[in-house]
Amino acid sequence: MLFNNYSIFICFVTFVLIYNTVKLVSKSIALRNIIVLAGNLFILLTLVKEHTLIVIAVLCLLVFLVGKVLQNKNSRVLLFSSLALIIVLFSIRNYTYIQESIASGIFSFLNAPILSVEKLGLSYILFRFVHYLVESYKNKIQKSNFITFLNYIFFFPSIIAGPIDTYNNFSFWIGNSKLKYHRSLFFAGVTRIFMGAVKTIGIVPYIIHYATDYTILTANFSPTLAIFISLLAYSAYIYLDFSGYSDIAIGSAYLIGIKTPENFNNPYVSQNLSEFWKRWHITFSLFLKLYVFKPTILFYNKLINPKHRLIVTILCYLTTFVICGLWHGDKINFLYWGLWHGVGLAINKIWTVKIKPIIPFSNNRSYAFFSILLTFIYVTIGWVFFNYSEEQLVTIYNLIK
Amino acid sequence: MNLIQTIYKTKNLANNGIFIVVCGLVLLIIGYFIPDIKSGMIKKQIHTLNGFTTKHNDQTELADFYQSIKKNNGFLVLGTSETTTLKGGNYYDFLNNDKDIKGTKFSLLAGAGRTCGIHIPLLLHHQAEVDSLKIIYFINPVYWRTDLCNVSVEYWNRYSNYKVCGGFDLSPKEEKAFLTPIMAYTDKLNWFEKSAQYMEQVIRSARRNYFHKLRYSISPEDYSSQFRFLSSTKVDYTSDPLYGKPNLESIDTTWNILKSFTNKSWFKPIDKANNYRYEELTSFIKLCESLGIKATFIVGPYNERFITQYDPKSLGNYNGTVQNIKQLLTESNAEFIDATDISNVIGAFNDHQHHSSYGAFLIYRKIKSQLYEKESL
Repeated sequence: MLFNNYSIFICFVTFVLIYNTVKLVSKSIALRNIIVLAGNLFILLTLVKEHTLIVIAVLCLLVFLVGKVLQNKNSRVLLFSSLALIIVLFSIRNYTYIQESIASGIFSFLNAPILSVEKLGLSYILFRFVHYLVESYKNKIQKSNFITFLNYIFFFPSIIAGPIDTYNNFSFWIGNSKLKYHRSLFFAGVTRIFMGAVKTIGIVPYIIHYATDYTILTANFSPTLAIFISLLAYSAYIYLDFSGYSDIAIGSAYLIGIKTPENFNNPYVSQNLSEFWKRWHITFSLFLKLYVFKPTILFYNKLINPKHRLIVTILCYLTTFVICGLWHGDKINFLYWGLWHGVGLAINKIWTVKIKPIIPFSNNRSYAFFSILLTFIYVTIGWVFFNYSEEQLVTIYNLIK
Repeated sequence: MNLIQTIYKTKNLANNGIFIVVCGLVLLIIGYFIPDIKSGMIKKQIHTLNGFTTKHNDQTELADFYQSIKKNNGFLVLGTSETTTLKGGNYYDFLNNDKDIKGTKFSLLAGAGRTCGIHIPLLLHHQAEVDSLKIIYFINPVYWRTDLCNVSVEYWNRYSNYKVCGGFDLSPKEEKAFLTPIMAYTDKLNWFEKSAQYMEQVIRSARRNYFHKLRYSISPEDYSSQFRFLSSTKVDYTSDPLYGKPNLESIDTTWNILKSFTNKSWFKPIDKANNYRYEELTSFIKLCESLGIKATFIVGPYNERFITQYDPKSLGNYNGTVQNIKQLLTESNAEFIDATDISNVIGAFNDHQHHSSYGAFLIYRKIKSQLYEKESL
């Protein structure tokens, strides 16, 4: 939760008041940038210790400088080596088994500084670093400013769970001086925060227990029915909680005139899994598409004859979603969840390419309705792997078989 | 889908936002005109209060809590982590379930680090309600240790609040006598922590206008549902085969701790130079005397065998501290129960700093013996 204590809420309100007052009286973008940075750091200090911010700030400086070099010189070696280094560093921090394997190895000296960094928002920081480096290399980021870059990385509304903004979008909005539009955005932000609060505070607490633990329901229902109800509740819970959080994050950014991208677009009305991933955690899906899926296609195209495009696409789906699953956690159930979606997307691809074109009724309303229903059921079953550990999954399997 | 997309248009969101801001402000202002509910509706003795109620000094609930104890001729037991829930029962559980003790029940406000100083702000805010209240305060000598002997901002923040620590109507002499622990805490807070805690209290108060005042004005019968009352049904601890006996099978008799407690390498000596805990206790004793609170102190045991095993030289300082505490209580004319003779009893401890259920049983026997004679329960 973004505002999980009063201190953060009070800091945020104070920050919004100061920032908007300054924006009214001064047009200096540098001044705004400095106030946003001060606000970001101040609020983050209520969540993490100083050394975490210092270590990340040092990394920011390095990534920023590498990005600057990449903007002027298209060095593939520099891009890949810098990407490899930051991915390794973040993996060491995030995955217990990597920490254990290097604890006594030659890289043990890395343990102390990396492990002392608190985990809060690290994945999203990594995504932003990757985005900045790759887009600098592609020359899509042509100009960058260190303070704006620090704000982009440390932007507290979206540091914990997204949305993952692009550097150019963030930089555009922080430099935007249209006060009239800012006023509209401010009040729109209030509504988004209100909507998010209704979801996360008004609804989620009432369903979370049934959603995350089916055993609560077994007192009144048979185990199979309890699992079924719990699954439906989980689908509702994870959507409301996550999209509610995104509403609050987006609304908070609106309050200071930054229009961050949307993260959800009615995902449960998707007609297929591919569409679902265009509507669910949109910025993360886009990140996967740009920085995992597409490079994987290029890689497999070199290995496999381009005639077998369908096979290449299926392999890319599987690879991307295995990575997606592992990113969510270092437990095996997340791998199963990733595979579930990878396999689902592969089936959907085969259906779309080979079967759908020959079905005569694929454009009518009933087809659309059943597509939505089937996609929802598939996604909902997938949440079992996301929510329960491997041992619990075995228990559930034994109960329903 | 079109409807949802229309709602999410910035222009529409902005119009709704203006409406939400205006409504929010109106509700905020109206809230202050909602009359507060009166205390005194509670007849049964309240068992304990949740931490937020005491942290923020929720006036009505606190008043009812203290009054409910007085109305029922009960005791309020205050203590630190040793006075929290214990498998097999703690001393206040045994007191509450003792058939010989009729017409008296023991309510509870306890928690790790909840030393006597933390209760001072609440007692000062409820002077009328705590007049002639009977309390038992458990003094755990481990709080004189190097790591615990100072004021702990973390513990104070857990149980109290900067704003609650102010607003007393006291003479300079009274301030000097009672507020030493409070000042030690507030002096350690920086301006940001002070303002954040102050604002937190203001926001909570605005929220309470609706979630407390309005709610219970509309539905007064719901008010009592927020409390836990001392149950009339007794838990039969006596049927437990280990009731009143040490659990010898589970005890490492050399260290006098549970075999499952493996943290033998952990030990902290007494800090003889630090006087904060004595000052805190002195302020509390003076305040109780001034407010007409009938306080009985328990000088709790410390694990002598553990200390002897780890660092025999430190034992002298532990003994000395306990003697100092007893001397302070004697000089202050405070009633106290000396439970330090339990310090060397095998099976009386679960770990290096908490008594076991058997230890609690021995403490209960001492309390019963002393209070029964004095109070004719």
